Amino acid sequence: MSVIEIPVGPQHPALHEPIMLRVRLDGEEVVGVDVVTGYNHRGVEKLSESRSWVRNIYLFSRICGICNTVHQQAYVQGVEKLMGVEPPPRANYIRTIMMELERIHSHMIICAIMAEVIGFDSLFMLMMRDREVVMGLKELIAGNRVHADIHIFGGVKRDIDDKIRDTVLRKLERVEERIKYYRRVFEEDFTIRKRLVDAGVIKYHEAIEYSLVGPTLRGSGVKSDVRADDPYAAYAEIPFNVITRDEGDSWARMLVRLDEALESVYMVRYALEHLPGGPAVPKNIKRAAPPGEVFSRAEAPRGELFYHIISKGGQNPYRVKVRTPSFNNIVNGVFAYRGARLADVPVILTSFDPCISCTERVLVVDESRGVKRYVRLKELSRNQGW
Amino acid sequence: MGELLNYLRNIAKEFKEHVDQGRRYIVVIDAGKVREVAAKIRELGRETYLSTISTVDLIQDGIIQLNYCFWSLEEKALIVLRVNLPRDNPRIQTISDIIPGACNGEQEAYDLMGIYFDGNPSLRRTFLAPEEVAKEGVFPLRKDYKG
Repeated sequence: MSVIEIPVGPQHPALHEPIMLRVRLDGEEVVGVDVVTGYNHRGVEKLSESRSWVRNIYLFSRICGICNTVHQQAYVQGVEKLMGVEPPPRANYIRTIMMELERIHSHMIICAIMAEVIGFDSLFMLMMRDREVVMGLKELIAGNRVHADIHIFGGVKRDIDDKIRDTVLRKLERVEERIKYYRRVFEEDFTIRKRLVDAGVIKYHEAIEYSLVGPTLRGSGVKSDVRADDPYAAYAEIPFNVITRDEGDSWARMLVRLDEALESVYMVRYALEHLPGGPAVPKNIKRAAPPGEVFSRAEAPRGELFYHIISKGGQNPYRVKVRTPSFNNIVNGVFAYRGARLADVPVILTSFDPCISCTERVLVVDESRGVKRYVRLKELSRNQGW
Repeated sequence: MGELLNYLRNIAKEFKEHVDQGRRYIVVIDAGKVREVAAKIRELGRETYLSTISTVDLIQDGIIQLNYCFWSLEEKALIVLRVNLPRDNPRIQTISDIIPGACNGEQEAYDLMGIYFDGNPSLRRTFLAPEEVAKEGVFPLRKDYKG
């Protein structure tokens, strides 16, 4: 039988962000997949070279809507090393709390999306409802529901008082109970097991050779977690388990995430109960960094996040290289589709937790004249150019 | 220090240790040796993965710096393999057949920084860069590109 090619995406009901998979099929069986990227390239790295160190904190957090706090952490901790600034312990704890809350809601959203992809819509609705509790907690601490923007050089922008601490602890009980329930659903439900078990198996050494990171790597049994191997913020002081599973299939990757979300609940609880005293909000912030370079790593919900920051002195960075976890998982993970059936393709892609960042430029369409043009963010903020 | 780091220390033109946060080793090598070293890393570091390829345009020195960043699970250390390429002709042999995880990094380095990896069949413009930029034949992450 001849091989036929089916494009999945860039706009497709099973994909929530624009990416295209060119799936080559022999009958129902996938014989190869090409990933087509570039639909949303924003040039953030280039843009950062013309912005000040402080403005870049907010630029880098906009790389991703879901894992924004960890982007800020990776950038801020790197620049702090360059500047010679050490954040106080309390600030490190608060940063860790925010990052773990983010991990909980990020893992919940991808499990919800997985439920939706396999047609289990009521589970999707329920998980999204419960995820909202965590978003509320983020808002309570940082003042913002999505982009926490709590990091600043030398600390955080908001402290946690006793009232907030008690509310977070109380609401976490409900979150814990629900995650335990969803974990059981993912483990036991007949339909979920039918669709996820043995879909997209990745072996231990394949995962390392192809540079896969995060739950995708740990789902293949590799014990690798930046929080444990290369501790940053307060991770060296907070006890937690690195979750791994040996199956290496889509099901293992989802269960790793649910177990991790549960682990994160315990970590947030521990951090809140052991919050060190002292200041968390810096009085002054540095705005310039001396020449130097730093390699900064952090564990985003999707895996290892990598920042290579180079300073030649002054107000702006010389170069910032950002490598997000999905860049490895999505582009290098194509081998996992081979041998699967066409219907498994969305399941396997979702099990990688794909995150294709959206666009910084805004496309304005003049409906009456049918003219399209790009408007820079600066013009929008000045309310010009409409 | 494990076998892999010992090997790299012996072969390196320059070997630096950074303690900015965790363990970081910077190993400067010649461009011609990259395949040999990559094969040795695969052999000695079965638990070492290529985290990313980071590129820097050092326009004043006339070089483009290529950093292969490996994370070693055995050593719990970041090993940065650094190669300096001439800015007017940045070419190097691919390592994507030895380390499959290098494929996306090489594609990105070609598309945005204009480094040509001999032997990598998947190099193409518009991998990330928008079509209008690719059509001009310019590489957006170079310092002389003012987009």
